Amino acid sequence: MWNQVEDALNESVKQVITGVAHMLPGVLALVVALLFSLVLAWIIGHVLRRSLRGIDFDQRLASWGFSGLSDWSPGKSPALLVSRIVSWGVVLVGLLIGVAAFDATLTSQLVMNLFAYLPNLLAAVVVLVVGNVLARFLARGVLIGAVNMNLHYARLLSLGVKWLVIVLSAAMALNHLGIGGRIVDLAFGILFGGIVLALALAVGLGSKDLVSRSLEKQTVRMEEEKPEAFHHL
Amino acid sequence: MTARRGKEKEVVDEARAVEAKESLERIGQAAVVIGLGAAGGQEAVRRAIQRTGDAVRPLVEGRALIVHSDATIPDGGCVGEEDRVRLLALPLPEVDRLAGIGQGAGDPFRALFDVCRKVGGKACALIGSELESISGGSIQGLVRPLMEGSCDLAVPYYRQQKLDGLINSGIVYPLTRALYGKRIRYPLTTDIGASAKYIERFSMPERKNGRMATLAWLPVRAVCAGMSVSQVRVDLKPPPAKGNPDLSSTLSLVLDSMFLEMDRNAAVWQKVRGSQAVVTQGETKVEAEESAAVEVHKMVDSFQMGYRNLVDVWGMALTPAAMLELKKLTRLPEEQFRMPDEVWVRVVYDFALAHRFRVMSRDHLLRAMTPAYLAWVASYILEVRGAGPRMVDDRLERLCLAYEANKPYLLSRWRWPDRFNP
Repeated sequence: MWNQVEDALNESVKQVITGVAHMLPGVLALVVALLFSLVLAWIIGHVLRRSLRGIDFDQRLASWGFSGLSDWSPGKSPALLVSRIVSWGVVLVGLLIGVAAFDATLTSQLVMNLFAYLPNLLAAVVVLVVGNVLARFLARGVLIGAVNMNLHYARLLSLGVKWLVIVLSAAMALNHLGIGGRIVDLAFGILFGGIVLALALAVGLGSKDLVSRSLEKQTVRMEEEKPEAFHHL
Repeated sequence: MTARRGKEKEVVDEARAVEAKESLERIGQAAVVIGLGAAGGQEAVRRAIQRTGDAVRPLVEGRALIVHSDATIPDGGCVGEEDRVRLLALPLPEVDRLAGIGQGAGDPFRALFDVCRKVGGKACALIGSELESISGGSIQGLVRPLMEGSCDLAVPYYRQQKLDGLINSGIVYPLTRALYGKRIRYPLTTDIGASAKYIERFSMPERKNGRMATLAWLPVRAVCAGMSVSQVRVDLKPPPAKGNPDLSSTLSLVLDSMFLEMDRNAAVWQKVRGSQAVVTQGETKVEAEESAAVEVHKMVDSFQMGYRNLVDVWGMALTPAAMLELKKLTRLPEEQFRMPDEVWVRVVYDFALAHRFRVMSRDHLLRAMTPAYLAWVASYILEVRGAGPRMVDDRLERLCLAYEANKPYLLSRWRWPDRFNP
């Protein structure tokens, strides 16, 4: 009986050792792939960051109207953001290569699914980023315009525009990702409708005094408009 | 409908240009060319032609040519009995105060320069001011120094009320003076007299961002090219800007153009220190006092509201010290509301630098300056209230000296933007 126990133990130890021995090259390959990808990511990130700074990427981006992106970037530098995204992309590819060393079938399925989903993910990210930049740009434009028109609710107006664009872009991004299905559409419809209704109610009821005063001022101004005693140009 | 009309107008203009070319060949040589660029009715054009003809006749020995916009007057006709002042109807692009700045449809200056070169003129003058304001004295004032060869460019010194042209008084004149070192009172002008040398230098069209650039800031171009400029006191009345743009649009257009010109001429103005007077001719007339006191509370309100709402936007352009000064201003009661010259100059310089380094959309940046500009206007109006012309001139002189005194600050930040600037 002891012989049988010993055999069974030997067999299990052998199986475990064989399993570990089978796994070891994979683990080693994973570690090597990860280390290699980390080094490569660091080099690529470093070179990319230097190159982007060399061409004044941050300033160019700001001049193209994407100055809002710097607020969302580490160290307020879009060049740093881009280099980090590329670096992490390289690390992700290294991880996938490492995982492929364990089970090629699993990885290929994973990669296939990942790549099939990637366009949606990218589109969602682009929609979010563009939506955010656009929201800030429009909000600033509305704020400046409203202040120059002496509207006392300039900041409120600007915030309203900003959040409308952000909510719209978030709904579009979720739609691209396929998250939430019709719930997102419904929720967005309800939210957007709610905002418009709230604004209408605010103007119609809550701010009626404000609006009437503003309109009254405008009417009086138009009635009493007389030539200015000074000229800017 | 509008597009079709525009097309029809283009076709008519082209036909007139061809006719004008043939007429030019018939007219031959002319010593002086005067262009009347402002729009006006037939009668106004004819009266302006008559006054211009009478004024220019004694100045030239040979022929003079008046270019006008009235197509009903036959080309080659003359003013008066003598055959010395000839007429040419040419569709010059209408002179608009902001068209040259905002890259408008065409360039009246270059169109006239072209005519002047074709007839071998020694000088030409373009009068973009309102036709009714054209007087013999103004025409002679602009043309005489060119005929005498005493300058390359003659620009008008408009006789304005103390509260007219506030953008010019608060920004354009003092900044141009501090940058380029010449005291040209109206650097942004619709009327000029140019010598053959100036015409030769600036008649070639330039391209800017792939489009033909119109000629703006003519006196600045002359100064940068090392040419001599003189001023002539005239009674001309510059036309209002087309389309009656609001203050923030006007300010944005003028400053954008000015800051771009500043960028273009950086190599020149960085070497300039102080300023020199330019020759100014013509009589000084004492201006009438303004009748009603101007209320400034709306401007002060606009500034205070601007500070409350645009603090983040201003913070991207202004230094913390300037922001602190503006904050102090918001707490002042209306009767004590005064913006120190140094603060205003720093604000203008900071906005010029922010424009150069594109800290945000340039249109947003310059429009955001409107409340700060209104604060300066309010302060200036309060200071010159009841002041005579001499006191107003002294006040502006102090402002100009502040611009000049703070130029090293601009220069330093222009060259080394990353240096610490509290």
